[in-house]
Amino acid sequence: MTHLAEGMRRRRVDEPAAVTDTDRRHAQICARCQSAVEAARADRDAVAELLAQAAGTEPLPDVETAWGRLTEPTRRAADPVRGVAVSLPRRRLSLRRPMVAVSAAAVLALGGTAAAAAASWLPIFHPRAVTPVTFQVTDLAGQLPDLSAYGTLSVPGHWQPRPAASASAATAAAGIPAPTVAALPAGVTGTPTYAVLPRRTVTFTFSADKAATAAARHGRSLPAMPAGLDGSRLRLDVGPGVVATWDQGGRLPTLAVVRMKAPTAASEGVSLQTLEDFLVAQPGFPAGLANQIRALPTNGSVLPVPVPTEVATSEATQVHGHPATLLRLRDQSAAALVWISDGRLEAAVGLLSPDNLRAVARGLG
Amino acid sequence: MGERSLPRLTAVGDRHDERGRRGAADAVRPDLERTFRAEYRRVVGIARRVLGSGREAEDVAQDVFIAYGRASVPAEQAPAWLAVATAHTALNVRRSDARRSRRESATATADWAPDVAEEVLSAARRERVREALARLPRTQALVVLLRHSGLSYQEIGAVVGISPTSVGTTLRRGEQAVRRELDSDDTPG
Repeated sequence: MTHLAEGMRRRRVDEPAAVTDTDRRHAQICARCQSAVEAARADRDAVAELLAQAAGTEPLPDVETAWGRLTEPTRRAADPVRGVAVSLPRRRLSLRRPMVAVSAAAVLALGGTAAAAAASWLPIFHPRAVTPVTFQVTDLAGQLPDLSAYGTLSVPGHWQPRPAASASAATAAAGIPAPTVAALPAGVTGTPTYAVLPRRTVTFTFSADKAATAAARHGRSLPAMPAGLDGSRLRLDVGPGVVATWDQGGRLPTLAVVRMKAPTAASEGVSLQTLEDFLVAQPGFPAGLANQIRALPTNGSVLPVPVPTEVATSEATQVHGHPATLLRLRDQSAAALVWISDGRLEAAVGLLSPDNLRAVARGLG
Repeated sequence: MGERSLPRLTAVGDRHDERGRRGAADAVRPDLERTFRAEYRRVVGIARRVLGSGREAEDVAQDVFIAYGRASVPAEQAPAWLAVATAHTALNVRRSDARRSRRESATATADWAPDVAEEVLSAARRERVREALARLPRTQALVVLLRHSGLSYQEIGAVVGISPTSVGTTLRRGEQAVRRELDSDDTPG
């Protein structure tokens, strides 16, 4: 009998519909879980009362007065749309409340500590599925400016796997269960070696000035950056994860299985739609690739798996009901299967046939 | 933090002088007033849970909306964005000057109390709640504040960067810690 996890007990108090049928049925017959849920409910009610007290007893401020306070210093300047000023008072942040100003700026514009960053970043990409996106290398090569033309990429340290002594050591280090294979396909033998992929955050800061300079240098024009993009940052979080590798002494491993937290991206307010529109508007961007990108959901729920068609073919398939992408090298020497399950990106790659890889994927523990 | 925050800070303050140069990118978003009217009281309410009912909470709310006016966050995500921005900003302010917050909250409520002695005790207890909240690890404090401000587990998970199940665990531990601290305060001796 598996008891409800602590977080699920608490969630059952607030969002009972979010609890799975299995957990719900268990909670109905398990006195221990029922007691824990009631304790969580009591704490929830008590803290709600305490926080209400903490907010004080004064009436909430009048919205009209507050709006007037926000706009008063510039009310004389007419807003072209509504005829009312909405320009922001210059004194507010810089003079009257310096601490508030610094905090707001740190939280809302920049981050700096991990905690502050959490507030300033808008999650724009949390993939729950994968889909192949095909392109021809020759269509891209030389057509698009280098990424450095658009801003500055910040990659802290070196991102490389760290060897782990065992599956349990890798699990402990990564915080993600190391993948185990139920039955190795023919041609794969021995015990795997494990490595931990540490979490890394890559940040890109957009710069309209750099884009203009690069465009001028190459004698071409680039579309104007969308409002709010210049100076804003895009953050990509990758990892942690675990790689299990079966090596038969060849140049490449016979089989490698990767399990890692699905990559996520966040921006300082710029939406994924805006970024996609800006990307596909670049001169020379292949129309076919643009159409595929436009067809992706704008809520950031699908991870495109790039497939260079000169060297590989792709096929949409499933692993345990999850959408998966199967890639095969055109010379049939290797294949890869990629999918996302429960927020984790999983991949099986090897010098194996697609059927063998599917069997590996189905038997992963 | 400060190196990059200061230029933006200046840009907000000096936007009128720089309007010609900065152009459309600096324009105030058209939904600011509608969002302000819809969300202002909720934002002040969140700030008050951290800072009390003094003017400081309203200052935080004003500054959060100023930042929102300049942000390009999609309008449909405004409630969650404003909530987490307010919670973070208020906690930062709180931690920056706990003594001032304590002093202000104790005096700010006194004018409203018919019985001064009772109100002083009540104000002290409210302050202890805010202290307990501010002493939590930042993620716990955020999750407790956001959940008790009406955000769903999914929304909280998205803005804090953890799974909905982790939201439940973090919330549970934060609530337990607040209760423990308040209960220990109430225990004689």
